[in-house]
Amino acid sequence: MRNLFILILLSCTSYLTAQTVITGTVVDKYGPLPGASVVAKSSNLGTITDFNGEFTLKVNNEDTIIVSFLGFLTQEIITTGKTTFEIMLQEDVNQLDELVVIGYGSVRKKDVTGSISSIDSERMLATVVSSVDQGIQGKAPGVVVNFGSGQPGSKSTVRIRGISSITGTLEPLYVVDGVPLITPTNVGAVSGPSMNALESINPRDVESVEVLKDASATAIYGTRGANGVILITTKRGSDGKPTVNIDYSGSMQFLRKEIPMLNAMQLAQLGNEAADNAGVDRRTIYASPINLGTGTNWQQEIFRNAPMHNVQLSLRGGNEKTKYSLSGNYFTQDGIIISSNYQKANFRINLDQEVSDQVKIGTSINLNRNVLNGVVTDAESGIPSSITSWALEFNPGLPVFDENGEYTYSNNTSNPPVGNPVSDAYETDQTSISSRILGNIFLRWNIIEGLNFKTSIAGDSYFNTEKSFIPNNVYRGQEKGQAAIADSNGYSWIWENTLTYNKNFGDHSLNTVIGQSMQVMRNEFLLVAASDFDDNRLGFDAIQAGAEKTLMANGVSRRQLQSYLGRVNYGYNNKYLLTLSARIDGSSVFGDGNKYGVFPSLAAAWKIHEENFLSESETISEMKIRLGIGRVGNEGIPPYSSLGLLETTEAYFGENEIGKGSGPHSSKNTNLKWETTDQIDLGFDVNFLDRYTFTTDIYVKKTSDLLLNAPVPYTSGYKDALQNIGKLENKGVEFSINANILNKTVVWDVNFNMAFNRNKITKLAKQDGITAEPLLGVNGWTVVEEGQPIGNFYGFQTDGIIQLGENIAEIPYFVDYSPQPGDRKYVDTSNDGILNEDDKVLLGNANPDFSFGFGTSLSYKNWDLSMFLQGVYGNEVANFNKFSLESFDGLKNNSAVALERWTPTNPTNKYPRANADPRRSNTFSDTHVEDGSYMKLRDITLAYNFNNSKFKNSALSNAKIFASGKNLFVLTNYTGYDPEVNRFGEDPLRFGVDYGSYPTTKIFTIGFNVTF
Amino acid sequence: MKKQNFTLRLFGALTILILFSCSDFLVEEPLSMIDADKFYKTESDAIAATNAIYEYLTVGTEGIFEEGFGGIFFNDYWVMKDILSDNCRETITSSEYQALSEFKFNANNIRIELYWQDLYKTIFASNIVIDRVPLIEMDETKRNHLVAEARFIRSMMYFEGVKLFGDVPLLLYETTNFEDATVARSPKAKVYQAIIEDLKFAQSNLSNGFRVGKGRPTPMACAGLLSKVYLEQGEYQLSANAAKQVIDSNEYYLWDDYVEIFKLKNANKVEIIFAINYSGTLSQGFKPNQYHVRLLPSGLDKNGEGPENAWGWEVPTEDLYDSFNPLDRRRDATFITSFTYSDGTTVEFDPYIGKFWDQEEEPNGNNTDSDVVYLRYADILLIYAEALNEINGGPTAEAYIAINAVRERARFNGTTYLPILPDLNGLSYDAFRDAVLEERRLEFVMEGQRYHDLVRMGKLVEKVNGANKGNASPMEIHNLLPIPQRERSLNSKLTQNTGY
Repeated sequence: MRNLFILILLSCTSYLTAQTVITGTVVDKYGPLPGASVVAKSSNLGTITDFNGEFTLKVNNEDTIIVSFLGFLTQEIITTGKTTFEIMLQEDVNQLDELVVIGYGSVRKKDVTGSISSIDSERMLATVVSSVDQGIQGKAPGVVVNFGSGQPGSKSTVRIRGISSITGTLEPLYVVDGVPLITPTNVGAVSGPSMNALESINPRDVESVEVLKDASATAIYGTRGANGVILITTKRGSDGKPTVNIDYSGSMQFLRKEIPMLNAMQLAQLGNEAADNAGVDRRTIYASPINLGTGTNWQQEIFRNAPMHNVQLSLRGGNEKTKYSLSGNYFTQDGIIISSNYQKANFRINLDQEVSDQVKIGTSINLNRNVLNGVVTDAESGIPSSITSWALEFNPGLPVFDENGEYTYSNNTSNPPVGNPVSDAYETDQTSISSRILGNIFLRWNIIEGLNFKTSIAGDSYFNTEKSFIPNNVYRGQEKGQAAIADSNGYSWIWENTLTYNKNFGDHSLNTVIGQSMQVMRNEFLLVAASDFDDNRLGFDAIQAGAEKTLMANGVSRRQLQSYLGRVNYGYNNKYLLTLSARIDGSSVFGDGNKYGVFPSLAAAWKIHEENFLSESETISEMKIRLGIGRVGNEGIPPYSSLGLLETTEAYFGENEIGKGSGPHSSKNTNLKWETTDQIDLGFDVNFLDRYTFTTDIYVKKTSDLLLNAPVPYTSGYKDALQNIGKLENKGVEFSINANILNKTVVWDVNFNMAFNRNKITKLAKQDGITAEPLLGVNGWTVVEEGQPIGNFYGFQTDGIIQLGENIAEIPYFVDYSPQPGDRKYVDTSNDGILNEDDKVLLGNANPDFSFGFGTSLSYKNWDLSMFLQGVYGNEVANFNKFSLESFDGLKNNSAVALERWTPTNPTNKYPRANADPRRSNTFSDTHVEDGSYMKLRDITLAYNFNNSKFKNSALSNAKIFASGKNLFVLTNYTGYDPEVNRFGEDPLRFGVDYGSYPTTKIFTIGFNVTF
Repeated sequence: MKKQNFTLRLFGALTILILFSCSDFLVEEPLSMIDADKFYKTESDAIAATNAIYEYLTVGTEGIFEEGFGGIFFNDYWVMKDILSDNCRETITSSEYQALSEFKFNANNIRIELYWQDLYKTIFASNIVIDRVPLIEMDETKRNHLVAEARFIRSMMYFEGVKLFGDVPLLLYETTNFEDATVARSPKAKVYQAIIEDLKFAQSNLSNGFRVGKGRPTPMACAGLLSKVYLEQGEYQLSANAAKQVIDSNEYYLWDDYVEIFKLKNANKVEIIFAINYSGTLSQGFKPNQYHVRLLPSGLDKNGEGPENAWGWEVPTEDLYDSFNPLDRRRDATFITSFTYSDGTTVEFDPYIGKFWDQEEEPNGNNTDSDVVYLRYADILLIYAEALNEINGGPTAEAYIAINAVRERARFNGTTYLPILPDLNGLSYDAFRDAVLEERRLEFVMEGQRYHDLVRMGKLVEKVNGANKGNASPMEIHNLLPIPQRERSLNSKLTQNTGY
């Protein structure tokens, strides 16, 4: 530690000796080279070239300067007698061979045989991001990252090459510096989207992200490879003087748009008309529409503009033996819904020490803490409840506060009603606190040249607390007050031992690894809830104050993995590459007869440009064909799924005797096994003039033994059960282009990627498919069935509105309702005159036809301008907000389109008449399924880099200021808040829904970055 | 030398790799739940397995926020039978309940589906006890008693099933795979036969010294239920015999005053033959039945007085209210039309069903100790009267005695017998049958009877139409409910009832 201080001090001090000042320019074959290091050998002091490649340095009279830059050969130049220099650096062909991290090792980028997308930190941080998943969105083809909720700290969904499971996890495996990350789940004491496991990693600590997409790349991860693997490598210290980096950004977030709603008078008129049309009494609350005026705009009451700050500090450096990297990050964000905010802090230390010539040890420690004060949105289970839905549905005729200054208690238009969203936001407390420690220590022993043994032990621990309190003066408190606390914690330890052997024998090159891995993951939770609070002041911090203890539950689960792995990369003549890999994975969660599985892969590549007929080519600098085939698995089901379990029950015999019991919980299935995915991938890479690279992959992914929590007949005593039934496939094409169009004074880079994926269930043991849980009383709105892709929406097809004078007798009808003029007509596809389940048709699908990302950056002198567009095309959204807000029944507020409703004097064919009859309220139709295609201007950033020459005599080596805008522009036809919405996004049976989510935002940011 | 060194090191490294793996590393041992393979071994296991059945009856095992929360008796048993009749209207803005109340439901109705689910989950839990407990080494009397409890409950479930759906799948053993459970509907006669066998077994094996009453069946509960089952089946002589057995046992009698029946202090006593026991006192969470939450009027709670969390979802039809003689003790006991606060202010309102609310014991309603009465003595008397009338093609003296006992009690206003509801006599077969139906209506509001009474007497359409109940439009097909569509899509062997 003392050394560190001295290093810092040294870098800040100026020396005085007999010296001359020299100046010069460092260039490469394309022009000036900014950022090259120029060091005087005598004093060991140096500088870095500025934007124009120029430098100024004090040297001794007889000195040598060392000029170096990553990827170039280092030059030493004797200064004697000269004061100006023009230094041309030569590319270091060996160093330029960028390494790509693959599972349990790395290979030269040129020797990659699988389908891997690399995203370096520069590209990731080109946009203002607060988590790694934000940084990779749109930047790798075939990787669809979706932020369905705008709640601070909430989780995205990441889908690599489509959806390949119905029950197992869909998320890729994240591996941080070789350690698989576990994903904690919410216990559910608070309602809201799950927290993001990636929040524990500071994106600024990340050196590179590699996305392994095809089976030949992921087979080395066996039962966890089916959804792809994302390898995150963090920055480590390097040899050289310490560099300090300080980074700050401040942002302001805005609601992108409001949904136009009826005002108080308009709702009352609608309500009266609905009552008249249904032949029921008008409601007294709507007695005098004209006197109600415009009323309250509940959206304006709950949304606000909100700030966000991000501070980063890092220190990196080292010497030959010891290298260190320290970093810290503090992030704070207010949500755009009142009373929601989020804070997180990350701290990381990476240390490497050479113990001897042969032995090196290293460690990483990552600490993280997040605190979210949320509001109720996106509740994942139970009654769909959300502040945003309440704000939309609440009667604008009611004020936020009544005449006594108390919050208006509840809505008065519906039964059962909902609570005042403003009072719910301010008065209820929902806090999630999460702490996480990730650490690993490894030892690498170079046994003989080329042969390395590595052992690594890693731990990942999390401690989460969820607390919620609904006071007794808030509607959801049901006049008594409710509190719930959930504590969950877990850990994973993993011990891995690998032996690698890399050697070239003449024309043959060999890169092999064998290894063994053991992992235990354990988690437990404790959930307590109480109600009946006389006093609202203490809330969840004194849960014992609740007179009625409503719930007390805990649970522990543990799973184990034991694996053996191996891989051989063989190259012949630097032209032909072959990769063979296999993993044997044993997992505790499967049935007794099915604990172990083997996951092999094979890949081959041909580097065509190394052949004689291309090796002299000026235009084609690289050309490669890759073919990979392999098998991977998905074990993402809970522990103990294969066992027949009993659960504790309780009955009461009189008022004194409790009869505890044990009843059936799940049925035994010893045959339960992992899902198997076989994938074949054909890829082609080409690079023209070292400036234009083009990569394309075509793949087919077939998954069998799909695990399905399939509904079973109730006569079995169960509702559903996990079974290996079904098959599905994904196939697709993806490509990316990177072009360095200009590279002189103006540097202009463009990159574009695009991916098409098609998904289909090829076999499903359930003939009628799997119907998702009803939403808002709508049954069968999405069904997973054989021969169809996942994510289909079903409902009725509308056919305009019944007009006056039409022959009602000829119009198809639901048996429980006789239609009238002004009601919607639906198509009777079965032609039996009656509308029923048989008449439902396919209304759309939640999967996009294609997804794309487009980024460009332009640099001129000190200015950088970058822009990033991202989008999806061809997907539909089941807009349940719209379903609710176009009810036209006067039982809740409706969107402003209700003004265009049918009346005898406005015989529109678009919107039906007002009608309070409840039986017409749950017809889900094509009017509720909307095109969800969008293109978003994710980011536009303008940065100014201060001229290095200005800092000549200071310790400052680099400074940058920037301004950026996020989501400033969205091109879409979608009518809701945001087409990217994805309520239930984690559930393959019902994703692609808009209902009461926390809206996403547009953001303006300014910030700076300085390096010492 | 160098070569040897290398070989040694490599060997050492490989050994390390292989050593770190052990054979029992992947064994799973659940920590928070019991592995069924390690259960059903001891007497306490047998009791625990039997106790579990009662949770299926009362609250079910679904999560609180799941649609299927609550067992049959939590609310659907007593809600459905009265909204599917001329007794009650539904006011909750849920199309599922509305459809039932207005006879516009179809096979997708979620309440019907959940009813079916609860029936078969309870049957499954019973079958486990019936199959596994006999294999446990324990006292034989106790063992048979536990099996008898399970068979009693199983018979209740099949009785509910056969009344609501007609032919139903009949599973009399624990199925261990889903194929075995995917069976066709058995004819009603076979289902009745199984019900009767279960009840006979239960009656002769329920002991007197072990787990007596308080929500658990007794031999007389078996006899009582048998009389009801035979009546539904049309076996009138057998029905009368079983009812007579209960009457002659002298274990039960009518309270003098109708209001005593549902007083909390009288739970499981005197008139109650079998009741599904709930306890607000002992339970945590939302486990008490929903009588007060669903039936008592909303908005009465002020300053800590009046029922909390009350919604008044099921309300009586005017026709029901008006069918009572204004002085009939049962009218004021059944309905609540006003509420008086401690400061003397009184609010009046249209009638709600307040018969289950013991205001003195539970002034705030909501979380209640109230049990759901399944079988009480007045029911046995009226079954006896109805069966005798059927056997003899007209009422007998004993039939008059039985029905008049119920009428007499209704005259008692707490202090004196009023000159109303005179004893019946001299009625024809048809008139007596109508009289029984009417008496049952007045006696058993919201006790899970009305729909079945109307269907059994063939008067569902006539009576509901006559009640002028809003948009209700019953048809003959509604004498049975539809087999849930979900179940049919998972089991292609299931046929649908006519008209659905």
